[in-house]
Amino acid sequence: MRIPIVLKVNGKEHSIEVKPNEILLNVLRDKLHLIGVKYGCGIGECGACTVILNGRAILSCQTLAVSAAGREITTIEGLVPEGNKELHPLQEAFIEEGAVQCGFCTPGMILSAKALVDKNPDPSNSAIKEAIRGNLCRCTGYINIIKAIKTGAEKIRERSKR
Amino acid sequence: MSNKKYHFLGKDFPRKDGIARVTGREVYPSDIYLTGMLHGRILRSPYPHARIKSIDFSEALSLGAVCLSFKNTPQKHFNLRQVSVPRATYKDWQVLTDHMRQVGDPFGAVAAETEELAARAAGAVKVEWEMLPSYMTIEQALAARKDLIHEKVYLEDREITIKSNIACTREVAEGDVDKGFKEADVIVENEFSTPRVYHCQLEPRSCVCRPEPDGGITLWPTTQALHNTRILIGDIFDIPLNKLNVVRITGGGHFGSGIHTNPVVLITVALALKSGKPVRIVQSREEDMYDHCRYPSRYTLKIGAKKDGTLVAGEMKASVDIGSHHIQALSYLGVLAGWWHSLYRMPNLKYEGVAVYTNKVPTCAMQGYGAPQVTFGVETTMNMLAERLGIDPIEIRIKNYVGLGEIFWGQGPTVRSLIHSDGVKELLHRGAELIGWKDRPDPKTQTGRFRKGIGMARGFHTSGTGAPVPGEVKDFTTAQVKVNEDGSIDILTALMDHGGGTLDAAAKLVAEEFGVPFEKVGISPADTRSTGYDVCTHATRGVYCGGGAVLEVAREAKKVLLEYASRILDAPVGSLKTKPDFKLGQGIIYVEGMPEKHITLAKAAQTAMNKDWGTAIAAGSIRKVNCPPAYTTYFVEVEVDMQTGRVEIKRVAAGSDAGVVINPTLARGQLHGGFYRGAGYALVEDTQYDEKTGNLRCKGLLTNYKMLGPEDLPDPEDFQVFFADTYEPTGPMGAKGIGEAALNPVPAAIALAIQNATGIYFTRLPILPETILKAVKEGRDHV
Amino acid sequence: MSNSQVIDCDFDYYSPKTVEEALEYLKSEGVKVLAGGTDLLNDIKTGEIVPKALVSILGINELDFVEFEHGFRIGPATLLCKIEEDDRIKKKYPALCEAVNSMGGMQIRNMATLGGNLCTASPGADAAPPLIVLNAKVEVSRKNGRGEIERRTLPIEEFFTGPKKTVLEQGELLTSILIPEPDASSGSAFIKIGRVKLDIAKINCAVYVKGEGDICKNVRISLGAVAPKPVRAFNVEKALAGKKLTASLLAEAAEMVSQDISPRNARSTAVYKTQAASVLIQDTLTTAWNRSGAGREVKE
Ligand SMILES: Cc1cc2nc3c(=O)[nH]c(=O)nc-3n(C[C@H](O)[C@H](O)[C@H](O)COP(=O)(O)OP(=O)(O)OC[C@H]3O[C@@H](n4cnc5c(N)ncnc54)[C@H](O)[C@@H]3O)c2cc1C
Ligand code: FES
Ligand code: FES
Repeated sequence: MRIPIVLKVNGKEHSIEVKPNEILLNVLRDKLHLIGVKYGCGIGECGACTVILNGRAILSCQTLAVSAAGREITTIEGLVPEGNKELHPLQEAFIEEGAVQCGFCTPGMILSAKALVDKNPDPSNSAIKEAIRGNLCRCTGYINIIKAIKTGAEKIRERSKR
Repeated sequence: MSNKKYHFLGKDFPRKDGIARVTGREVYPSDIYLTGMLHGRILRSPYPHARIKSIDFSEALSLGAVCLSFKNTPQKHFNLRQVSVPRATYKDWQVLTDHMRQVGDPFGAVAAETEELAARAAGAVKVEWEMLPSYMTIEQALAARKDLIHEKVYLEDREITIKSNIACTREVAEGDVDKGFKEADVIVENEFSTPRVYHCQLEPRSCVCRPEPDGGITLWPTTQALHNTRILIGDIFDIPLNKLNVVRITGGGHFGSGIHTNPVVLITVALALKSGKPVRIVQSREEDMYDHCRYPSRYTLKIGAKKDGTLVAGEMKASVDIGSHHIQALSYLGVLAGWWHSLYRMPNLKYEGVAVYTNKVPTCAMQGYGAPQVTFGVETTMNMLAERLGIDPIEIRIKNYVGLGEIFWGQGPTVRSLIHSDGVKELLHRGAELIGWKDRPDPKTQTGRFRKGIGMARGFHTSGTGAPVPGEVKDFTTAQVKVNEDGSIDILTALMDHGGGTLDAAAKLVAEEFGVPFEKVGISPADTRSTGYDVCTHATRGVYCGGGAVLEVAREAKKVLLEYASRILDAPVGSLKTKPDFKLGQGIIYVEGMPEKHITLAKAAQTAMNKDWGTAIAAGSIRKVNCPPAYTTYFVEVEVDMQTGRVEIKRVAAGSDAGVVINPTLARGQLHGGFYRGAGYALVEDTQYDEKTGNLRCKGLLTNYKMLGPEDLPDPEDFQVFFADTYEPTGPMGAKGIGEAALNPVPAAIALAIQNATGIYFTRLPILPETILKAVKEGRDHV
Repeated sequence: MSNSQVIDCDFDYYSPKTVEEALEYLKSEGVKVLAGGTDLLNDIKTGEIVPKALVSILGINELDFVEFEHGFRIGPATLLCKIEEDDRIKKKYPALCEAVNSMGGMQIRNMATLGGNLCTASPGADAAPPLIVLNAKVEVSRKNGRGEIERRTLPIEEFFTGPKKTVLEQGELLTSILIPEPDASSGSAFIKIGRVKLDIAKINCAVYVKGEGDICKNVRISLGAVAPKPVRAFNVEKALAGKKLTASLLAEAAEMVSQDISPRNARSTAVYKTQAASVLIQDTLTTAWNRSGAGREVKE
């Protein structure tokens, strides 16, 4: 069985054909060349493959590409509109606070953080911890990540005041 | 020592690779897509110990796959880890063999146009097996007389016959232990053990290999050591090194799993050579868990002390279950003695270590390389001695630790060096104050369900493996530094940065030396063709040895530049100074005392070019003749639920003596990360085996390999990091390392915090709630 | 060794819009329901399930609802995050909310459904104990020989038949979960112990309790991961029912849990699970009791 689908990723529509067994993670990487989406475990435990689907953070390794057809997908590559040279406040904050080490968890982590601050603009430590519980970072020990999400949220609040 | 005189050291700058990493544009080996590239999949043994009678590839071939088995690969023996010299490197590994020594051992591979097709082809390969008896414990392995895991291994060109599955042994002795123990007023002896923890670096080990038209290959592997990878592959596959290019590419975490060349790299090369096409293999997480793990340990430790707390003698016997292969267990046995000897002065000491093959996942270095294992037992013993003698644990440590002016050999008996800087007392005192050490609970008088405990442990790691006389471990870095025509600077070196900021640190040292803004210093892409040898970014050597080498080469390049400037400014070289001019965004060279007489770096470099004087450039290979101890202390507060045995980490005060701190935020991050992995090591992480099937109980699935998450760790406000105010005279601008030291004392500190809460000493990691509850119910004070 | 990178078996895929249509597809052997996929896709990747076809039910509106009109009804295809975000559920059925909140990470809860958790029927499924103590019923639908939809309703306790086993047969679909209105002056709570915070339960526990003054009028206790399927702690309940609730009575009663459970060594040890079960019951019941009426506390 081959199914033609339209994947809406980062504001662009891609008409492709997939087999039902194709995993969204692999389609995003292999067919759309969005390498910011990472494979870390393939079974839902690490969050490296996180993307935002219709406003919610989900795992692309546990999603069939056919199931994602027609829905809005945002990957790390689409966090800032194309052509916009500035970084997203969360991205800035991740660099400033030392929340990035090897960087392999970073795209997924930032997307989880974005999904959180979109709903909760001033999250507490415990809200942040809960939101990134599903994102494994083996390098940082999470402390600087929590700080970065707070700082990023603050930057967003300040920008929206302006 | 104060950092005030520095423009860049001790200040935070956005890391140079930051933008790539937060935008998803950083390319890791698993992200490489080449035209015509095939996807490889490794065929692995389902049995712990077996021989292959026959393989049937016919179905896989009919699917269009390229198939590879041990019949198509070189049969040379080697050791994947190349940081030791050949006389200390046992060789028991082959690219592929028919002798399967663990579940997951590779015997072949397939490659196809898509990952799915490769998976199908792999599934279609049929194998006939001959079962061999498997040895899942040290005892089982030692009892074996035939069907050994390895029959013969090699040391240089010598063939060595293995007996009783013993891979190697090592003994160290100093002084007279028997006499020492006779002098002791108290003696404490225990057996300690630590688990086989899995690195779980977030990117599974991977590799891409492209055959080149000239018969050579280009490689993008997950590795911590570009040149060692090249030398090993060249040797195995007979490829001249000038045609074998290994490219530096960011890895998604290593923690020691890339010091050795990963088997996946060899297999990728073999597939690419066979197919003539580029091949990529990204291991699945499951495969990765069968690929490597931390050395476990089991050892008895006996230490004797005088009434006043002075240690007089120690004896340690260690047996190490190394799994199916040698990834340099000989040096591991050496460092076990080294860490122990170099934590506390021990005039009389005896050490015996034995490494035993079993049918398990092969063990390799992981952050600390034996130090956390040994520090756990030694620090626990120090507390036991302190308790027996009625001395404060901090006091007994201050009395005995190996510090300023003393000789130590953390990296094993052949790597001896003198200590020139020592912040231990400062770390102990400040940590004690931050955590409230003097108000810590008395385990004997605590009641109630939830009990608080404060624990402390100290440790260190060597900054590299340098020493005045070369020992068993290679240690030098090659670098090139040049001044560009716009006054910017390029650094070229094979040194790797695993995320800790090693290369940023090197850039800062160069910026400081030249007096140019940090942004003006660039890190050039590196590969083995363009760079000279660098041993590896391991052993906490990145900043001290690697950064140190870059700095020394920068000084040579600067000499050339100043010579040009002296011609231009018509002033002797000795009168010239440099400093950054932040308004100009440039470095300037000026005549001391005559600031009006100056020139920008750009102008100097351009003039030199236009006048055909040349480029200000230098290159060199630098070996450090020391490996100063990077000391750390951890003070940890926990709360233990006496009814469920659950432990909650409440507060942490982490102290580090890294000499002059180059990247403060990133350095703090090293301690956060070290603590996190150390705490998981202490409390949950372990790979267990089903003795019947010889398989990992978790089957390589993270569902059952648990690591701590953010909710298991304290809030940022409750995690304090501080640095000792020290200056390492042999270091680049006063710096030493941090890396592994950030983890080494953590398991001990947590175990001792639990002891402080419960009154029970735990001698086995991980300390699970099940163990705690059982000990509580049985009324034990020691398990 | 399994391969979590790709799915290397082929299957068909359908995404019907109605229950009717879905039931039609499900008649054939090897056709599996796909909800959030957080369990099912893992089972496919590890080779435990090799489906002929998957029927996605996430596009079926009839299965995705939270209704308070005729008692509380919830559709099996409701995402866990929607349960967690619903203030009405939080207020009335805190045990369910707590259970859901403890499940996986945010991404899992954004994908996984309540029905999926029940139908997987893992012995440690977190949604089961709260639904059991809340006296929930489930509605199961199928198509009969004449092509008509038949529905049956059963208590959720009867839904589970063993580890990863339910009463569901090929061709059947869980179509609704019904939870009765909790009594006045009642409270519920859920607590789980995992190896780490993000984990499948070593053991979990839900309690529903109705108080009358100091008297424990009615109590239901359920535990997960301590038997082949989620169980009620009948012996403990019996020891408490109708009695004045004190900490010492509770401690004594909770000990009796050892007669209600038959734990194995999964993710822990049987001994530990038995000891922890008693503590967990006390903690969960205390929380539920505190919720059951203003300012009431379990007395010493
Ligand atoms: C990282 C991770 C963490 C997890 N943590 C937890 C946890 O803490 N606690 C916990 O309990 N679980 C946990 N789970 C398991 C899983 O997420 C839950 O069981 C989830 O609720 C399953 O729902 P789903 O919609 O994804 O089900 P699916 O995977 O889509 O389906 C599960 C099974 O139910 C069947 N099914 C689904 N809906 C219906 C229906 N309406 N009628 C008939 N059959 C149906 C499917 O055919 C399949 O067999 C975790 C899983 C992962 C990957
Ligand atoms: S790769 Fe999807 S959660 Fe790990
Ligand atoms: S930065 Fe390496 S995994 Fe998070």
